Amino acid sequence: MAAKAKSSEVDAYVFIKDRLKILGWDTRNPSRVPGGQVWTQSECLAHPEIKKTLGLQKPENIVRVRESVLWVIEAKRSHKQLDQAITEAEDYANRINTSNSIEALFVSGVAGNEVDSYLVRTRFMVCGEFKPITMNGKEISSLINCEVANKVLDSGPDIRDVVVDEAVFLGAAERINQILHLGAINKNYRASVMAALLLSLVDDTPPNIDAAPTVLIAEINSRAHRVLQQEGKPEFDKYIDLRLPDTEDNHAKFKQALVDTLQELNNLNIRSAMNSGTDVLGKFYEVFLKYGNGAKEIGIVLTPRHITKFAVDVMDVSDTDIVLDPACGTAGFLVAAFDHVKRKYSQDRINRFKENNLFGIEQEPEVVALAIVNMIFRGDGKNNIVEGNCFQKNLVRTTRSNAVTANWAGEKPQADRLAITKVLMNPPFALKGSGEKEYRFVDYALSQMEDSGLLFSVLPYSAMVKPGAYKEWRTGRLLGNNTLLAVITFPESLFCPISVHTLGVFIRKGIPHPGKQNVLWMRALNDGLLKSKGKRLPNARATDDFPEMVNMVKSFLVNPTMQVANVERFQKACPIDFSDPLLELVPENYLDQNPPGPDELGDGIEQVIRDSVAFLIRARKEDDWEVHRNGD
Amino acid sequence: MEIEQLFTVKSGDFHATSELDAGGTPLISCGDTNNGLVGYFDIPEGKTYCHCLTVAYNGSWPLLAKFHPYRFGAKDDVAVLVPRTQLRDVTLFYVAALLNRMTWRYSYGRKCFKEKLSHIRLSVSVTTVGDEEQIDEEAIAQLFGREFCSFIPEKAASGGCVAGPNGWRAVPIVEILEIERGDFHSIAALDPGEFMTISRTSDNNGVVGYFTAPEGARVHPPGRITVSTVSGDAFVQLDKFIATDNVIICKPRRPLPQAALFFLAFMLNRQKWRYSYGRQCYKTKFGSIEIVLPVTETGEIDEAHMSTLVENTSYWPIIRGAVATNR
Repeated sequence: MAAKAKSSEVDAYVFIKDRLKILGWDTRNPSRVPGGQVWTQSECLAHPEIKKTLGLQKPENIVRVRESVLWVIEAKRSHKQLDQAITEAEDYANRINTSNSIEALFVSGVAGNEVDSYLVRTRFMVCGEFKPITMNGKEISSLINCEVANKVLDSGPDIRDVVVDEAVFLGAAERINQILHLGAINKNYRASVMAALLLSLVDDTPPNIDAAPTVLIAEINSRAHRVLQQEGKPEFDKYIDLRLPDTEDNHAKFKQALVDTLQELNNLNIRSAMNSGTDVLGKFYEVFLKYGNGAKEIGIVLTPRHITKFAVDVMDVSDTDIVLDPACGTAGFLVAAFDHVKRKYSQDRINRFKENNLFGIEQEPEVVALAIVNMIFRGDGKNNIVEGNCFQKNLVRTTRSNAVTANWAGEKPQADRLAITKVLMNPPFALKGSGEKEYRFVDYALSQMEDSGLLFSVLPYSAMVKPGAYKEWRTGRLLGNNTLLAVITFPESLFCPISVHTLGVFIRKGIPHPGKQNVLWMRALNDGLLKSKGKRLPNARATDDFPEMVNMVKSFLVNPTMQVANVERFQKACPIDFSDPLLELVPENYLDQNPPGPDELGDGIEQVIRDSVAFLIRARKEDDWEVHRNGD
Repeated sequence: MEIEQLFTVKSGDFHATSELDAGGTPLISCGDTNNGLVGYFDIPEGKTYCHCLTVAYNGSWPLLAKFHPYRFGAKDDVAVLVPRTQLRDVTLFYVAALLNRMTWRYSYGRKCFKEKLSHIRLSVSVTTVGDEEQIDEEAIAQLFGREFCSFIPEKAASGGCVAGPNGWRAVPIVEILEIERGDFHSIAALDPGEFMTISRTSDNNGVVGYFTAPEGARVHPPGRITVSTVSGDAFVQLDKFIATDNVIICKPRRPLPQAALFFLAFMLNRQKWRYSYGRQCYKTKFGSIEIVLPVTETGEIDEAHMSTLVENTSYWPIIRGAVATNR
């Protein structure tokens, strides 16, 4: 589509400035403000050396990356002028590079306008030639932040494993939600839209966003379907298929939402990020679904990625384990297990593992689609994630190409045909009045495991303290048939913005809980994240209990007779108190608390008295107050 | 007079508590409880204020004004009103009260930013000195009749350092306290009345209002400890009260000094963490807990030591006075 008559490069100025700001650059004029980093077209000639080399010619922006290292950005008003933009940026840079005191090592071309979105190409000078910057093997599609710029300066234009800025991802997820909302895309359909768009980005060439709505949608669908075919997952076509709205009036709106979303994904360098060694896409899903896509209504509580990693690390998943997540959501646990194995084994063993050893079930088809997309980008398109009701599906051990694996079956297998050795799960939390209690998922998962298999589950705190059916489960099926190894209280706002208190349990299948065996009780109340304005983000000031717990829990799972230091209110190993009529299996019921020290005693009692006095002042009438003052 | 005639209006200096390290200076935000205090942080001297008002830009009550006669830092969701000339505490209180009367104008998300705030007009008496209009502090002082300091409870001299206890012993709670549940479930059905009503809340000593006692509800005498079954918060009640059924009422099994009750409340509050995740603290469960208490050489509960520790606190005389005049 040609650029609109009114579109001009001016649109791009705003886009560039906004993006640079989001990326952390100080967009104030460096010639006026000492910390400033961005000259606009009208400001850059204030720098004498730039003026000397460029004469009267001026690019859209020049960014001061380091004192003597510059980045030239040139903008054009339509997509087809992208090549021209980058060429002109290179020309400006080459002129600047005739200087002896400054050098322009980065160039970017930005082409587009507010309606059609923007395409960005960024390059770096190597041996006198500008080369594309690649991140994790994929050419970046955005402007760059300071960290990336410095990494490129230090190690060249092919960089890897750039740390994900969660705040940037969170901001993008929020904007995408808003874009899809404005595009009248129902929130229950947004996961499908996202899956289709992500799959359409698998190819190195992006979809033609200048095409008419019907053509663009057909192209996105065709790309997504092709990838699913290639990965042997054609049955997911129907969950990913994009459809134009019924009324023609909404076609343009729908297309605009797709184009704007693709823009946001490009700004995030999503293709590069997906190719990284960490579960960046999972993190993106987490925030995308968590903060505004009806996840709560359908009972989805996506497991934060630091918890999936913690669980996989302490369970030490190996390439011979057959792993199941019976409520896999976007496959966070399976991705973590795959990444764990990837770090430890050869490519052959990794390939065998990903084809034979990862199993997941999810009842929400749109969420499964996201899980599949994630696994495809992780290099595991041949996984065994299926859509459906886990209670109707069973896994039967079998052998394929000399590797032990499992097949989905309707019938429950005999004990000697059980396949699963490790379960990692976070079942949907029971909605009020729902009969689908979380423990049913735990029971189901245990039924799929071979004896002595190890299960980890996130559970709502209430599952381990509630009376009634929950208590019957704890006393009967849980402890009567299995061994409880460890229970860990998780941070209070772990699943923010959903208000649910959770814990993690580790269970060994098939051995009734020995009455005298120790259970490891721990409280991990800090995870390095702080809540601000309803969002939790990593913060250097926040403490993180998880890293120091990994080794302890890992060792204890292997040897529950090991000595464990008793740390008040934090950790203790002791047997279950079967005389407790409520049988509350939570650390808060078992951990010790020391007598107060002199400081705690003094401060604590002082606080009680101050609070009581404050209450008296508020509650009592003035006459009473006078009496109190003169009470002696 | 307009606000900016009396004050320099500044915006608070910090956007989020996550920017700051823990420390000793109070940080004020736009909240409407605890005088806007959100915690204590390490705040550079140059970004602190004293004897100023803060005014909420947003939050539950934009324009809500609070007086801070101590050194504090401020978040950027409040304005700090720094008096252009020294003003009496009573004048600052009066200005705060005038602003607080106007909070209704800024409800429903209508925020009150610096520009708007600076031009808000205050109805105050003025005097003229030369050509200049000044606030009439004398007239305001006469309205109140009392100075601010008369509202502050007198702090007693410290009783000096108290030696540590002879030892500690874990004591079953039921060894020293008789426990029972409150009598009624809902306060929604109650009419306003004279009885202080205790419910599960963590604030305000557990008091949720004053209501008539429903049929069959007992009126408990002063000198009881109440414990919320939801949060585990323990409070000593100094007036007679009625209580909902999510409150446990603890009556000493034998007469205990009032001060010792506050010690027990402190020890019960130390255990709140055990009940912080929706693990409710029902009567049966509460009855099975143990608390550590100081004991004498012979292993008896050391009531004297417990009392001494409490009586040694700065504001104990106020409580003692209140106990003496129980309503």
